[in-house]
Amino acid sequence: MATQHFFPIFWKRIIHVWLRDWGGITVVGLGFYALIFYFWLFFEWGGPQVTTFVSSVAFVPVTVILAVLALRVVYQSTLPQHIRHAWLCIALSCVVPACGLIPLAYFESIWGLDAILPWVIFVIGAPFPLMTIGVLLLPTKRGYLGGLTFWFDALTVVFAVGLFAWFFILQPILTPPDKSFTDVVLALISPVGDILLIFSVITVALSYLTPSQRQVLLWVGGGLLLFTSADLLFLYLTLQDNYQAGNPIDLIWMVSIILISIGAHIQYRQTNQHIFNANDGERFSIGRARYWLPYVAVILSCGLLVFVAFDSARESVNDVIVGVILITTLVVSRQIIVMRHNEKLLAEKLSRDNEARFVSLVQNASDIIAIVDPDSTIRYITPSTISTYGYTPEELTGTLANTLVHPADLPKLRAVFAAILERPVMVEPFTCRIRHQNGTWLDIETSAANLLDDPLVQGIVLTSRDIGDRKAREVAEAANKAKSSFLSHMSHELRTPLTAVIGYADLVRREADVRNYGELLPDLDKIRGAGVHLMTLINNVLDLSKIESGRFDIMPETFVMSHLISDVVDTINPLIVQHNNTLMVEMSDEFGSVHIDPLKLRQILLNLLANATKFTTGGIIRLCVERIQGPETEFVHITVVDTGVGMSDEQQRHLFTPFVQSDSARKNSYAGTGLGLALCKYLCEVMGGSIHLESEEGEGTTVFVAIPAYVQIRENDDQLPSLIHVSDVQKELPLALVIEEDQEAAAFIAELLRDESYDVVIIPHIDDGERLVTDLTPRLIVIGGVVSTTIGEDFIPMLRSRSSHTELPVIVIADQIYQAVSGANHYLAKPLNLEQFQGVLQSYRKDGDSSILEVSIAPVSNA
Amino acid sequence: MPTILVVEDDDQNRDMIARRLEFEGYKIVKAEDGARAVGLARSEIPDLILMDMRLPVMDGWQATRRIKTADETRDIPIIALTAYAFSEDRSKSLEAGCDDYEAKPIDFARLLNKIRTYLNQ
Repeated sequence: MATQHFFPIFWKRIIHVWLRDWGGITVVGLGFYALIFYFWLFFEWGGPQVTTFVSSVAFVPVTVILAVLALRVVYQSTLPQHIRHAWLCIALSCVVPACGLIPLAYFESIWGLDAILPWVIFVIGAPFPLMTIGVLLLPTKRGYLGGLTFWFDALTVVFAVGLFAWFFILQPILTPPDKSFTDVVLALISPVGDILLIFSVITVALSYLTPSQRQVLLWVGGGLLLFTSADLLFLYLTLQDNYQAGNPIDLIWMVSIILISIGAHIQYRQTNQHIFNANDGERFSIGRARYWLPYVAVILSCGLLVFVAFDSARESVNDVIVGVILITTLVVSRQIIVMRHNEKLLAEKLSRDNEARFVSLVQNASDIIAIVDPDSTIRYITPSTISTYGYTPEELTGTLANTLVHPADLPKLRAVFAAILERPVMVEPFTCRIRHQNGTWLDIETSAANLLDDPLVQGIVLTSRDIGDRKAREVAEAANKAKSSFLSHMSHELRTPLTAVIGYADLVRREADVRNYGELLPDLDKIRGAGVHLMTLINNVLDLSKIESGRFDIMPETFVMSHLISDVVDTINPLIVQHNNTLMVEMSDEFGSVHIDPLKLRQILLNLLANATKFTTGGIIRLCVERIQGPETEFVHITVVDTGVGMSDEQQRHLFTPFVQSDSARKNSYAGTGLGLALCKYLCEVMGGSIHLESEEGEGTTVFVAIPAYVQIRENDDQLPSLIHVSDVQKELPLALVIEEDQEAAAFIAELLRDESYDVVIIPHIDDGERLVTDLTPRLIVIGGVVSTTIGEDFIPMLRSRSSHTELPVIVIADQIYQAVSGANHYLAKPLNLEQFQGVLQSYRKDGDSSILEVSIAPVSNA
Repeated sequence: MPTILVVEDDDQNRDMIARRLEFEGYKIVKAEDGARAVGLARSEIPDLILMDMRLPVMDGWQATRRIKTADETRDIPIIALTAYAFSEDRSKSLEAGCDDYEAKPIDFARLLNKIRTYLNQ
């Protein structure tokens, strides 16, 4: 078995390994060979006879090498079939003359030329069609315009070449009448074959080429053109009897074969995808030869015409004129076709670009755009469904949009569809719940447009977006508002009774003190202390939740530091005394004033001092307050040092976390929520300061606080200079009393009154009316529909009975039944006529209240 | 002795503050809402007003504004009693024309100091 396959394998190895690796070097070697050949011809080494011999046999190895290189391409299995066929043809076109010419020369000498003429014709003529087929088989895409202009161009060039060949070669060959048939045939083989070759090369060069094939053809086509031109030149020289052996034409032939060899080598190195992966964009980048070759042909043939016209010796002017007219007609026709086609191409390209742009816009929109039929079948939907609904567009296309909608929202959707089908306009966006692929419901806002009549759409266009985030934000904002309002109420509601507890304890304690009930004092102190403690806890909790809800404002004020410190010391002193501690305050007498939120600073100080004294018994607590000039701003440094139990590192780690008290504090059941330090940290930071703590177990604790001496309020805060008197620029507004139980109606009336520069007080019931009229001395009373009570019936007569209110204008806005109420100045019917009401108000403004305008507007001096 | 108008809607607290101040020797007038406060400010012309801000009928801010814009009462110092945690209460009261504020729960020592300052005692 091994021997059976040995030879094929052996040769394959030779071809594959040796030739593949040495192909390039062989080509270079050929170049040197050509160089030596040239010198040989040039210097005529060994005499003219040797030179002639050399020039006739020198082509054999070159041709053989080309054949081998071409065969190598044939064996390259990664290349497409027809390329390999093309190169097989090229290889054969080399092999035939290389193998045939020497035996023919031998047999010619034995049997004479006429006997072997068919063989001579075959050997000389066969390479031309073989090579032509080979070149034409090289892969090219068809030229644009379905090949029409391509054929125009190819024919133009071939006709031009043919014209020259006819004029200079064929005509002289055919003209002498004494030529034998054999001579004519032999003389024609080469020029006709050459024209054939030129035709193939021009054809391929003019057609659209893939980039890699263009490279191959550059070499092959160039070589062939060189070859044919050398051929034609040789024939021309022979006709002129100017040809001698050793002429450089031999070298041109050789170089042309080398060029084709290089083409073969390059072809060998191409891979499959290089040849066929030319992208479509190249449809428009046609080889430049395509553009100028036809024009060159026209110019050259015109030049020939001029040459012939001036050369009176020639008789074939008519032939040339016919040729030139033919060529020119070809070029002009071709140009007309191209122009018309280019316009079409350009229009197509523009519309394709436009379409691509819109498709890209729609496909990349974050909103979901769908085209649905009137029965809600989805015909088209954008890929944004993947990110929003979790479905791919393919999954949704063809399904009913209804199936994704929450059942409870279906009636709404049907109503929208009914509405949109009736009038072809955009309907207001509506929201409905859509099921996500994972089963959750999304809040989707959709607007619909009826484009059923639009021939391009023929459907209803739905544009949807997920408003879940927006909704969540709205909910969160509402919750935050509710929280704030809750805090505000909590703050008031919890504190009010506590204030009473503390206050009464204080009061009773003082009474007890004065009336000598000394034994009650400790108990009263405990009540008061517990109350104060509870108050602190509530404040801390409220503060923390306020900080967390982001509603914690700071309000810096300018105040004298020593006042605050003495105030704090007074407050904390009972606790210090209770733990048998001594408080030492270190502070310069010239400390001066600072601009800090006094309540927050007070809270920090009280917290720190309370902590210090809580964990210290019978020790010393030092409070040190200094002003330190920092690099940019001045700081107030507060240091609180105690000699208490101290803390381990582990304990210190969680100190500033809310609700975490150190273990020792828990063990010894020290009072507190564990909020104090966390709150201090927040308070410091919110004022642009910092806090840190050093402690050693058993040694005591030191807390350092730094706060800017002039706290800057963040920009978004209301800039309110402290102690501003708005009344400086205000005059007393006349007051209007609105009695109306419906809140909305009352608010509406109040708004109208404010527009007329009234200050407004609203009460829902008339019960308080009399008292309020006394207290507030309103300039106007507006009574809504609340006069049905007995008090209400008596209200106006009562007002009128008093001397001071006889002139007080009363406007009653009521339903008809209550019109009977007597004494009012005006009765206005419900619903309220705006203009009428304003007219009434303005009438009072003009006459009755002129005194108001005389009210002094002298500014109030700052208290 | 000077007269102080105590405006506070909570009965207990009003009573407590009043008694506490009476203990210090001041004459006390009490109001339970803003409207009453405006009326009493005009009729009694107190020497000082302690004004809670969250009040029924007419709230403390509106009452303050009225008192501070009326000729006969604009010179009466008003100390606002504000909830501690809400600095907007504080700023609103100053805006309305209060001369000073005191956070609740009331620290009587501080409050008395302030009262004395405003009454030039």
